[in-house]
Amino acid sequence: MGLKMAKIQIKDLVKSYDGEYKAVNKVNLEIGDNDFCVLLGPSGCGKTTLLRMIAGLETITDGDIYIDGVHMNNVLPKDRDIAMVFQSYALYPHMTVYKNMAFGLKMKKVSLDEIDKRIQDAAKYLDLDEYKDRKPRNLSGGQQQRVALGRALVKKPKVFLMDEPLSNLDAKLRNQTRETIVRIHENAGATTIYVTHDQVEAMSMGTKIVVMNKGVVQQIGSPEEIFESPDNMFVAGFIGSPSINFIEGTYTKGTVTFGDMIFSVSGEQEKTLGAYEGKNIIMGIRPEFFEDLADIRQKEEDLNLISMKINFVERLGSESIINGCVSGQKVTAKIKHTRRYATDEQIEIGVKAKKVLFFDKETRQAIK
Amino acid sequence: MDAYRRSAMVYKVFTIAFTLVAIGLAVITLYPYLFSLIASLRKGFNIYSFQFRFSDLTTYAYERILFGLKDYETGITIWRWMLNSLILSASTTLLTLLFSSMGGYALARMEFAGKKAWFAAILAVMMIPGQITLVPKYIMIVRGLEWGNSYTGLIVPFLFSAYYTFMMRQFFLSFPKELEEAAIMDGMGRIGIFVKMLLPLSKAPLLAAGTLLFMGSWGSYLWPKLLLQKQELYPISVGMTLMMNSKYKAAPSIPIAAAIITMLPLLILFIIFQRYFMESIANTGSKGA
Repeated sequence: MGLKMAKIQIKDLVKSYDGEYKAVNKVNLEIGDNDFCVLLGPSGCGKTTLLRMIAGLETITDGDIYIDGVHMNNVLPKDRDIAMVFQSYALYPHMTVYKNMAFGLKMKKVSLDEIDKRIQDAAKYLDLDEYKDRKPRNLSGGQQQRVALGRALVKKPKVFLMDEPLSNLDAKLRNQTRETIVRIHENAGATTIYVTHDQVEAMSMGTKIVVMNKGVVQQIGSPEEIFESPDNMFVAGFIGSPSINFIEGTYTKGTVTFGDMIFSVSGEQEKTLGAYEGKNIIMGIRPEFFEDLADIRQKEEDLNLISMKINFVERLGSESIINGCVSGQKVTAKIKHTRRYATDEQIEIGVKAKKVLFFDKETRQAIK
Repeated sequence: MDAYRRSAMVYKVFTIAFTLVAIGLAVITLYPYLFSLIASLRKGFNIYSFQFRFSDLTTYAYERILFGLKDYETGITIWRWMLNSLILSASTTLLTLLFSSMGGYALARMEFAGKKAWFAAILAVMMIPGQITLVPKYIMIVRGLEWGNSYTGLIVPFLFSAYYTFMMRQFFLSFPKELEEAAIMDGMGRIGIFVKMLLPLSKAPLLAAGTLLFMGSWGSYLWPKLLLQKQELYPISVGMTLMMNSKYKAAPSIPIAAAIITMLPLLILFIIFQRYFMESIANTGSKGA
């Protein structure tokens, strides 16, 4: 497949339906060649609206969209060199798989030979060879999904837009298709913008993740950046499953006190927390970063021990999710140990200070 | 007798009872049709007598109507009226379907000034009985536009149908929007989407509406009777009543046979399209493909 590159620039983009509430609020975004950009956020956060504005299906209230430096605000969807995969697949029910794929190309007046060649390639690539003459209703959900991908693929667009394409598939199929989509992205070399509310999808597929909430971009970064160094409590809370623990405590001289627990921070963290002397701050600890004391062979310097009373245990086979209580605050720990934990048991768990995040209680922003 | 057998027994008795009731109702419903059919095949005045032999039946009435009978004054055959009806019904049906679906689509999907007012007006029109508008309509069409004695006057007033516009609007509202958007991304315009996507996918409601429209148009009597004075323009529904005139009193089987002949095309049409008809009714309750 020929390599096409596209750079998408979004400047101060606003979408408002009623003139008051902004579904997309002053979004600034730069998506580079070959990026797999994931728009991630809870439902109603404006991610789909943003995608549809890039597609040209939604009018722009304010701001600008550029693709490869060309101002796109008033360019018709068909002339933007974009292909879109819809959540419901939106296959044409009265056309066969072949015609579904050929349709867009015919509209673009691509020669019939070329159309046929591209469809044969795509059908082989997506395992659709034997279904070319079937109508969509005679295909399984996974096959319909692949036809939808094929229909986008044959257009050889500069940009792929995908709106939750996996949400109607079962878990197993979702994993397989995830792989297919990443492969298509890499082979086609196009820029992909992918909308999802599923953080696992975002983390596993994206090279660049845009976390959105209430129309506002919360953070833009690589999956690692988003996970390890979230900019604010929303991002920290949205990414990760089970979600991060927020524990409120008072900071004094290198320690955070909450209830009868005292947590000592690392030397580096002490520097950044200087301004919060005597104030209440919020600690964010990911459940994965807890370790059972029984598993810790070497006690490292910055290890803090916490005593937790177990309320409820979810056993997942290779690991256990322990919901418990630390000094009256709810805490969840994910521990790679299969020993039997009993309800109401009091256990000691440890977490390294380096792994702990701190947030300003007022602004909810990360203290970095 | 144990409880299980009693239960089975009750079930059997109920089944038999219900079947008998159903048969009874079917007989009551079908009797007039059966009576007409047999009456049309009998001779002279004995259509009301109970003495009946199959060997007495004759197709005399049908032969006379279809091949021999001409109206003495005008020389018009039933075929002419049949053709008139076909032209009228087919053109009314097709054009009404076109305008209803276009209007329905606009109301369902397009944004334009006064959309809500238009929709309210259409709903209001649906609630006005046709009898009320009959006289003003007559004055407008015959006096104002001078469309009396013409098919224009028969077809044009019915091209807009509030009911079918409303029905198509409801259908298009339930139509997945993403499908249209996919077509937009593929490079289609508004008209292309309407003609190549929506109409082919609206077969069921269009056929259902079409069947009803055709039946309504085929059986319409009052409006053509008011508008047309020339007998050669009559549709079959009006023409048929001429055969009920006094001059055929000697052979009552003739008007009855004429009524049956009039009904036949509709019956055939209904049998052909009833599958779609049922489908579209069934579809309203289900998700559909």
